[in-house]
Amino acid sequence: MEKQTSWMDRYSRQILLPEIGGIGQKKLGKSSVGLVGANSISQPFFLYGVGAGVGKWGLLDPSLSSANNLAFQAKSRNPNIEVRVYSPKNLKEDIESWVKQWSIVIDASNNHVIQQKLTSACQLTRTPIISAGCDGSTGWILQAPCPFCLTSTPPLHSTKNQKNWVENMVPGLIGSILAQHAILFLLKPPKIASPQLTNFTADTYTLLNKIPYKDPNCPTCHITS
Amino acid sequence: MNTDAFIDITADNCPMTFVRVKLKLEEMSSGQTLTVRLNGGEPIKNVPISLQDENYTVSKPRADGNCFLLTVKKP
Ligand SMILES: [Zn+2]
Repeated sequence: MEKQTSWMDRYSRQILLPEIGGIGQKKLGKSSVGLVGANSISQPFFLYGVGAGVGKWGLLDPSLSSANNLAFQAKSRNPNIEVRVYSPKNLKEDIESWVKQWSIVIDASNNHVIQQKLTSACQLTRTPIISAGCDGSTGWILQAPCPFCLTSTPPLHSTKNQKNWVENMVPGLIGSILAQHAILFLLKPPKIASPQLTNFTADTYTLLNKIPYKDPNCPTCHITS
Repeated sequence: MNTDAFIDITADNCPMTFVRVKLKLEEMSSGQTLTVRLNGGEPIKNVPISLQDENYTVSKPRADGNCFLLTVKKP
């Protein structure tokens, strides 16, 4: 924990916000995020998150060098945070134990198989999760996904393997919106987390915010749209 | 005048003046009062407005040497 004076200086703009204040700022400092994926979605997310003062981080990516690089950038932005880097190969625990140590898991893997695995592990351990991804000009953020709905209503991302609309623009934007979602969540976790989708299409500039995402026949989630 | 807590922000500049007062008030309970010692100029102009914006009841400033005293009540 940094000294009180530098803590106040660093976060003064957030402490001034009625929605955060000193209480919210301390809450963020005690929060932890398990971030999956070291890529152009997780980079802006991570940097905004550490700037906001989320205290403890775990970064999981098959490429330890990408993860270490991102961890280094994050520590340069805010040296008071704690970051640990993990690779799926070197994971000592099972995925359930890994997810449940965090206040929230952020899946930026942009990979449907990993997304399903993480979603199931989070549901089993009652760990909050937000998933995000993009393909071409479309990006999405899925809050509290349901494993059944994810499996029965296939991926939000297409498999067309389009080229990025503008290099890194859509992932950058999605990563930034994701940071806002996660910080709001950490400050005030919703009582009931129902699957909600935020969708962005760059070519038409359409942002659909928090629409229910579920398979109508899902036996486990009961939300009305 | 009776007060539950006291803070001197004459050594601070805006916006740290309000940050300090706000953090102090967050530690206090509803109904308690805080006396704030602050400078004229920017602090006396800004701090009461910021407090009122966050629903605190603020007294009229009283002179205290070259400085001012405010009493703030937590809603
Ligand atoms: Zn479902």
